[in-house]
Amino acid sequence: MAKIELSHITKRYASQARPAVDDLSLTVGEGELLVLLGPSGCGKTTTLRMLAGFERPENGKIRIGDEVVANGSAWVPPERRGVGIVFQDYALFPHLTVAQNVAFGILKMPRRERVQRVEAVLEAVNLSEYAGRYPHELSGGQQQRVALARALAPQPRVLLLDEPFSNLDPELRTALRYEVRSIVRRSGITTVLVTHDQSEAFALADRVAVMHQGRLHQLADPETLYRRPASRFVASFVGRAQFIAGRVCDDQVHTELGAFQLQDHLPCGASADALLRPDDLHIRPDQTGNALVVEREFAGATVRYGVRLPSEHVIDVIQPSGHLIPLDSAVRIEVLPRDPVVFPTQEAVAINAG
Amino acid sequence: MSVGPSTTARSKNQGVREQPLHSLRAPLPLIMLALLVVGAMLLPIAYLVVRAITADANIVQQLFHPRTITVFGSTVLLATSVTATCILVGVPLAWLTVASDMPGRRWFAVLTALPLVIPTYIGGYAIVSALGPRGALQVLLGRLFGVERLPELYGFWGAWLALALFSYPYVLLSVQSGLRGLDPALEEASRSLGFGPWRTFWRVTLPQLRPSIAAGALLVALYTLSDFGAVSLLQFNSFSRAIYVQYRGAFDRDYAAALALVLVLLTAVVLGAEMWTRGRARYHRSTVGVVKPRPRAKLGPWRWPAIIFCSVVVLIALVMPVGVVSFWLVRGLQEGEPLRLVWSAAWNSVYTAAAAAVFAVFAALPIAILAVRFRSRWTTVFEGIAYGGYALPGIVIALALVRFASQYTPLLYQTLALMIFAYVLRFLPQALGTIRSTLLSVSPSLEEAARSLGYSPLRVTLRVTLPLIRPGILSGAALVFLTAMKELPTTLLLGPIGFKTLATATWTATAEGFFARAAAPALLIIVVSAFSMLFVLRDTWSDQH
Repeated sequence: MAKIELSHITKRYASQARPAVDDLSLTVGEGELLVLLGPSGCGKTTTLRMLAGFERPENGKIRIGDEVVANGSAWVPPERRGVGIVFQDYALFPHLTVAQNVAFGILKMPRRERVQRVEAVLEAVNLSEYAGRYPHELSGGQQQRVALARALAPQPRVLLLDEPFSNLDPELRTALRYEVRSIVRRSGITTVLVTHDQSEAFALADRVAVMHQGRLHQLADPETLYRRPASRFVASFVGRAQFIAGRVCDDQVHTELGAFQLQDHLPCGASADALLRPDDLHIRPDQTGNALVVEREFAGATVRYGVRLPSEHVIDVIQPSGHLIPLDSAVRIEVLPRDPVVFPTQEAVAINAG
Repeated sequence: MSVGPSTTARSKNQGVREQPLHSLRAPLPLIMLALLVVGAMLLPIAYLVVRAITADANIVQQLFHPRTITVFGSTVLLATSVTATCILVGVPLAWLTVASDMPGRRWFAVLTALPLVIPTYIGGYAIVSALGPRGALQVLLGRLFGVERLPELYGFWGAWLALALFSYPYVLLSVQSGLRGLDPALEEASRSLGFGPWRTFWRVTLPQLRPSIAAGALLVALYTLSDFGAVSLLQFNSFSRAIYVQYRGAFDRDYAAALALVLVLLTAVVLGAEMWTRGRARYHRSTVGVVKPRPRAKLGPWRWPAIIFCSVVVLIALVMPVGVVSFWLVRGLQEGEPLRLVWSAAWNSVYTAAAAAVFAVFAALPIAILAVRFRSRWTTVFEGIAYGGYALPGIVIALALVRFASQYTPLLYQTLALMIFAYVLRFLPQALGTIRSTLLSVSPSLEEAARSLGYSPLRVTLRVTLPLIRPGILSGAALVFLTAMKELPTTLLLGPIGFKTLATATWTATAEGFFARAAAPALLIIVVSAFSMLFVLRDTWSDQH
């Protein structure tokens, strides 16, 4: 169990103009499960690989526990970092059995102790009866748990997981997600997991770090991330984002769906967008309503409506499927949150250009 | 020579995810070893260049002398005509054995590849003794039809026939592996867009095969340029023969070195041409999923001409030479030809080739690991230099080392060590090719996993990498063994006086017209080579099931 500290980490590849990781600072608390979330190429895997010691940052400092493992001059190679890693392709040694794979990192232990440890970890991942099998004789989910057992066997200070569920089919993915979480929780180990899947991040994380183009956009717990995204990028990457255009006056932004309170001061007359997620909205049939249902998509528990506003914009509304509203109904739209997040449009220009 | 490093590597690499670029520095011992190998590789060529520069001005005159230009012209003519012939034979054979429903295609796949094990000096021997003046065919035709003379065999036609017959398998094997790597969905897409089977072949399949054809053709062209056996026996004055004649007969060693340098330039041009034809188009599978097994083209009544075509090729490229050699062996044994000398030559061949195989693998490993796992501009340069053996004909390496050793290291001159060193320089690319392609198929995350489990880079190599690439190491060693055993010019020039191998025994006997004496060593070479070849081709056989 150890704390992880990254301060001002920059990593540049010779072939690329933009740094893969750009001045990244973050701290992972002892026993915390942090998820690095972002689209492909955002620098999350590079960050993980720098933690493991497979990549060397140009600038900045990495600290695991009390030890500085990388800064301008010091450098601790991967084999001396005490870091366990589970790879996307599991990286099980095909020439070794499950038990030999798990024992690979603890060969220095006395024999008896080693055998016990292998048994204990295999037990923890529910694979005791597979000890003598070879990796290719296991299913994807089983291979994944062997990889986890192998990484945990030497009792590392930190556990790193690189897209651990991406090679599994969707049903297995959810089941294994909870299993992995409970194994990691029980061992109490500080864990960093990389994924591009928002629902995975929400299901597993204590806190989520959203990265984009090498930069950290927001580091927060899942709910804050969803309700109070710090940037337009975070808003659209985490869940479905709809921006309703409006104009600022008297610390309020006026839109066709109503006026909302501003959190930060903006000059009167500035244009700004309010973030409204499909589940922030509610519609009910109303002959006098000025919106029209133009799309309907039934998804079992919920239903998604496409609703046309007087401005001709169509926005999505998701609500429980109890009472279905027919197509072409006139409806009235209700906005549930009092103070949706508002982004000034200059920022939009700046972010799109960057 | 073997099937190109480029083809095998390329086709194997297609399914594997892109290798991440390591930013970690390569371990120093690995770099030192690689530098040592690269230095050794550069030695002969550097020596030749120095000699050519410091030689007197007379050399320049001689290089532009009409006789040099004639040699140049005939070498280019031979290389282009042999390469063209091999493409015309190899591409249809590859398609028939991999993509059609021709009966017996699995047997034909092995039988049509086997002529590769027949060295050209044995092929040339078979051709001379079967088709030459007073040879078997002429005697037969004379008896039946009173034919007095066959067309002149010595010179261009004989050399062309001997080289084409025994080097078309380079194109065949390369195109076969290209065809197996093709995604059948591309052809299906073409059919669905309204192209018939024939137009699909021309517009989609053939362009996709272009890199495989070019890789095979490259090997044939390099093989022809470096061939010594066929051109010597059939008396065609190409560079190899001219160099040897200058070296042995006229003792004009500076002129020989200058000729050798021109030959190296010629091979460099061929290599450049292959890179250029490879073009900028990408040849990757576009789908992410599993490649479906290729549906086989239905030949219908065309299967008969197809079978006849394959049989004719097998008959003249495999049955004829083996038959001729066996015939002479039986005849020699009947007349009391002693076999004792053959056994000692066989032992010499086996242990020198085995030593070459072991050293070549050790030399190839650091280069392959650096090039695959620590890609950078420098490691790519190392790899390129190590592949240089392909461009250096045996006669050139041998000549350079003979002269270098006699001048600077007389202790090594006329020793087996120098000969084996030359083998390693020449055949390193083969070991490198197979090791590199297996290394590419081993995910680097396996090594990283071992690092994070507490293993130092050296122990990762010993405990993880080497066990995983063992098949590639074995195949590479088998290939080097096979080719070193057949190697003639290096052995002739660098072998200690009185040191006989199967290759030199065959060649000396044939060159002097003692066909019966040449038969036993020749047959032994064919048998041993065939076994190593089958070992290398073992995957091809199982692929067909």
